[in-house]
Amino acid sequence: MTGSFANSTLGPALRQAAHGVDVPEDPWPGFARRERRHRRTRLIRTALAAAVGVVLIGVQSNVVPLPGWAPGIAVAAPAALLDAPPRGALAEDRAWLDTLRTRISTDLPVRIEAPVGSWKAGDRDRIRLLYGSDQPGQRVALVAVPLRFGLLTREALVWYVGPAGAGAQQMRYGGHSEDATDPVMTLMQVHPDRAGFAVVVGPAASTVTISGEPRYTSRGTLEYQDIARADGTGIGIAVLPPEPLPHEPVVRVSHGDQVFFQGGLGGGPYAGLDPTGPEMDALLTGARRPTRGTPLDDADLLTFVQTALQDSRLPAAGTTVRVRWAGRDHGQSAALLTVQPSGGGVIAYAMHGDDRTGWWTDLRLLLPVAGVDKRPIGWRVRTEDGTRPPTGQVRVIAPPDAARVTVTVAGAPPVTVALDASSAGTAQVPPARPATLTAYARDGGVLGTTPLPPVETDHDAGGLPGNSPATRVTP
Amino acid sequence: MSRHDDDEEFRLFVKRQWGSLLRTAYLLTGDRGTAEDLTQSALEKTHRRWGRVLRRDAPEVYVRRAMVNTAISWRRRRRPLEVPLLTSDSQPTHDAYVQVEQRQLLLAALRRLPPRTQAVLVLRYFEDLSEADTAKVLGCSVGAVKSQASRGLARLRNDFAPPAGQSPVRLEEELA
Repeated sequence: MTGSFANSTLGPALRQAAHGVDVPEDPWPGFARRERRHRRTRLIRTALAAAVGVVLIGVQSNVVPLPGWAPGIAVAAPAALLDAPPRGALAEDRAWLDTLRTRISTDLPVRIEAPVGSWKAGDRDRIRLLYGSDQPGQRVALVAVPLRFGLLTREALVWYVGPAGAGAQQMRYGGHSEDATDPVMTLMQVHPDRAGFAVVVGPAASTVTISGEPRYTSRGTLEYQDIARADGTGIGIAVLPPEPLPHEPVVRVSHGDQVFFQGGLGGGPYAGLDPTGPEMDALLTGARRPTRGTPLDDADLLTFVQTALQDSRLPAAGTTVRVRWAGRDHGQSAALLTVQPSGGGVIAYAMHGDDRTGWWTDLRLLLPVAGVDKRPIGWRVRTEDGTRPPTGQVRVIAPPDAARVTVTVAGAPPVTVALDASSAGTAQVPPARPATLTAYARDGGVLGTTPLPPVETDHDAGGLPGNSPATRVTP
Repeated sequence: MSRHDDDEEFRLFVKRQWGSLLRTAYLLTGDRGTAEDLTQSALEKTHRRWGRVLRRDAPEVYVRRAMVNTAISWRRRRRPLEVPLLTSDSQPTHDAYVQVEQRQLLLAALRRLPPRTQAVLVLRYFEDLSEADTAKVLGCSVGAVKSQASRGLARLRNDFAPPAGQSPVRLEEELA
């Protein structure tokens, strides 16, 4: 099997397999026909659910009596936005809301498809402001709009945006949700030339956080700064930098242990690393300093550094990269390097690979700054197939001044690791057993101790280093 | 932009994207009928949020994200569709049938991967999306894409070993 498996075998196989799928010349008529049918089905389900709901309401209100022995259903506290009172400074501006109501009732800003035609704005007086404010530097309003289609009614949640202090006629449509049971609504607007904003409206009494840039503390922990400002209960507002944003803001809306929503404000324009920019050049120049082991060629170094920066979401500017060891693993280029944001914790990355077969990350470990240069660092060697189970072999890199390094498997006496000229060695540690690496100075004193982390699971792999216990040493 | 313009733009979007989405869906599901359902579902979801998608997102990214998420949710709910395959007992020959069989074995191995890994490989090596674009579609980091692609390729290489005596599959040479 050749090394360029992806390009020589998988890619052609996928293209050949897909080639046999016939595609109609004009797919629109078929798509539109099926979409209409699906809408009808959904509507019928909605109508049936409504009919069942009417019966249940009858039961609930005792119009339809149930015997005393009938079991009841415990329901959670209401969480939908529709249950909350109007929030924000505009809640008291009756004239403004009245104008907006008139506007919406005559010109619904979105077409919400019904089986035949579309839903129309319902009773004008039932159009309700859920949130309205000039807080993010823009006038933002979230409005519940009743919709009617024949005998059926429902509600949609619609965002309006305008300049601070804008009249109702100046407000622009900003998005909507057709599911009025959404417990949380989010709005993000970013611009290339000026600050943008995010607004999150959750249930009353909920707590809203909007996480900005991750911060690797010098203690070796990962923290997210909460950039949300409150504007009443259950409201979070954040000012965002001009696009492209460095990171996706992550929103969490909760009440006690109950999490209503957690997720990123996706879809924004986010900055990528510029591999040819001056910041990256400066960073690579620093990383090219002589190191122990076999020097890395420039292309491999660039790949390792880019991978580490992208994984840790650190920018090239202000970040220090040090190659602590370089050599060969699995016959491929390998390195242990550390990245450190200015004043922050140190993240160790072990990687190996090549362009033909791909690049592998063997270790991600957030370390505290104190004593980082005196720590031995090790990682469990994994097979390169399937889920990459650990082999039981451990790669150990000694700190520069170490005379020797030992590995201590829980419950067993320490074993000295044989180090080569590059201060690297290997040891055997059963995959499921915790172990500790200890480096000793020439005088026998302990330089530093580092736990041997377990291999990361798929669950850990999506998070930042330091997010899970497997990727940090600080509890 | 008026509603009419939005509708017209969506109609053009469906015409432009249907083919590539259907083929991607086929590679994700392994079944033509399910692929059509999946494509339809992803486009309907996109249509329901079309205004927001146009303003906040790249529609091509949004519809693929909807498709991958729907495929994963269907795979959880439905029995996985497997292409019925048997390794041939016959002597290896370099004819088109053997090549087709090997391709099917490879696709079957692909479908045994975790759904997100499968999606990464299809997006990267069929749709030719960059790692960054694949990450956008899947809503994860580029590092996670790299890692899943590496793991997926390694597992495919491991699972898909041609019978002894045969050269690696050169499917591009296959007769149409």
